[in-house]
Amino acid sequence: MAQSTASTAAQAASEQALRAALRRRRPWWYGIVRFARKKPLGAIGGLVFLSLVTMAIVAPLISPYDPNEPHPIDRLTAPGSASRTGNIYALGTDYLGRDLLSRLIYGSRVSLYVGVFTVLIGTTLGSILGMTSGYVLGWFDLIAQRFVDGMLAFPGLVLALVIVTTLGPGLTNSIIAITVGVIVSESRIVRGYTLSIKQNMYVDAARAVGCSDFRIVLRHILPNVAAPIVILGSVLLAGSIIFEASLSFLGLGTQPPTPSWGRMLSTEGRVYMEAAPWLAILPGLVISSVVLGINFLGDAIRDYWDPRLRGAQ
Amino acid sequence: MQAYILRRLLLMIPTLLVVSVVIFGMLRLVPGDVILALLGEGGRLNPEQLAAIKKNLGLDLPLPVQYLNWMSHLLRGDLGTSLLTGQSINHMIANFFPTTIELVILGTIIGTAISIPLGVLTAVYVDSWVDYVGRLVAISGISVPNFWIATLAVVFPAIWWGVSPPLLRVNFFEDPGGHIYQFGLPALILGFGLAATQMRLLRTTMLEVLREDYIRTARAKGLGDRVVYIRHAMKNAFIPVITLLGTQVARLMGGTVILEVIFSLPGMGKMTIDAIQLRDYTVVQANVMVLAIIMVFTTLLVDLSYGWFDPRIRYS
Repeated sequence: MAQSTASTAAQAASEQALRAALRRRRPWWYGIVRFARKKPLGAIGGLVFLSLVTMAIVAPLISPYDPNEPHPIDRLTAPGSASRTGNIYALGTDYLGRDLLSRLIYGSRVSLYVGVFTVLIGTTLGSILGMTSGYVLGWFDLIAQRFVDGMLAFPGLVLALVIVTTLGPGLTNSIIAITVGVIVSESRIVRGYTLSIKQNMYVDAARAVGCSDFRIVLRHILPNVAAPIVILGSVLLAGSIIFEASLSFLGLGTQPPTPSWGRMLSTEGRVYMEAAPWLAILPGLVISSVVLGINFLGDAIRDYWDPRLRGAQ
Repeated sequence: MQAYILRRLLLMIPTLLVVSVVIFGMLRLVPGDVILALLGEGGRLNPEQLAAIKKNLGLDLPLPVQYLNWMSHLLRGDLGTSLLTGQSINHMIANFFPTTIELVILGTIIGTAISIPLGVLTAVYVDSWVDYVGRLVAISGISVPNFWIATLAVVFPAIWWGVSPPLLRVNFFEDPGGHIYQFGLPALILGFGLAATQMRLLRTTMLEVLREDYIRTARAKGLGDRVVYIRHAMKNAFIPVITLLGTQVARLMGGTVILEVIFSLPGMGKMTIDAIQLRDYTVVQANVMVLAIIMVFTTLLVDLSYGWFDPRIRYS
């Protein structure tokens, strides 16, 4: 009798301790620190992305000069060296005497703007199209997927070139061109996930209890597709930044005088590289670093959320 | 399998129709009159002269009729004529296509030669320095823009050694060294980008295959590492990689655009860019259509070969 009372008390105490532990709230940064410890490269990638965002936001505060203000006397000044007028340009100047550091800082705005906009809009519209196509099937799916097949038949850059040719060169039209590519890629992948999730019994159960199709998609399919969408988003972000740089490199993207990393490589970097090699090296280094960081982050998020790898860890 | 092939062939038709409508429609949506943009002489041409030029080029007909005319020519293999030069586009593509296809083939060979050993080694020596270096190389390959590498590759030799790529296509049989120099560097850059993507996928598929029960059985039987990896693991790991290779090769056709511009290679990519800048829309239309058709057929071949490589698909 005494033993059973003691064991009951111990059980109650352990239950209380468990409830207390569950009630204890972890700080908001706990997940981030845990992620950083498990995935240090991903954390570095995250820092790179945060730096890009910060640089874009505080560009007017940290740029030493106006990015579009020419200093003709100081043209083609080497990084760190004193110019003819005595000014110091940390990363040198271009063929018009514009400060390269300031142009690189302001160029981050274009890259971030294009990357985030194309991913947000493209992912949203692509996911809606993919989920609807995968859930509804029938004629809608048949027609929608033939359209997606047709758009995917174009090599990526070629599709963007055709769209920009139609609409004209410029930042907004580049965003439209890149977003179309993101929508079709996203819809194909999300459709695949929707088809497999639809087979689960909980979807049948939801239908059996009278849930509407919209509710099923919103409450049961979307939460299960969210993780791959986020992971794909990081891949597409990196790709969009490179795409914008490619279009600007070909003269069809961001137009002067707006600073763009790709355009800086093309018109200034190639033409003046013999006299000023930093004009070609630095913008390329910046693009590579940013895209590398975003890819590290995307890989880390994917590995962190992969249940197979989590078990192995 | 025959039903699968027939279904894929039938699905190709609406895909190509969509491609043709998109290309035709987009280029007809170019703002402003194509003739005015082309000639740049809007103020000096009277309406009768403009109407005559439009009639000559078939641009006075309703859009659906223009589309049907274009499609009927396309189905007979006639890609039209250049708005600027009047030259047959078939003839132009015949001159430029070999350069692009050679670049794609060389890039694919280089990419595959790099990705296979790297992908297998990083999987076999997972979580070792080999794995980390290999993954770093692969992620760099997909992160570093190829146009930056190409720019550095063109300009630095010019600065240091006074060497630059030739402007005209060098025939291999006339000057093998010059031809290899002209195509080697862009093919290497193209192949490196392909290798990066392939290697990452091969590493993932190898790791999945190495976790399978039959690999454990093979080791339990006493088979050596080399036999296990080559005879059992790689064969199965390659199936998704080969299907990706097929679609990647098709995408390489578009990837040659920038490299042909930087290295001044007379290929279809450079031809398309020049046509865009000169507003030669019939050339743009024809080039993009040819690239899209190649892409659709390559994807079809990849889908069909998937059934051949994986018996589960063939017998499903």
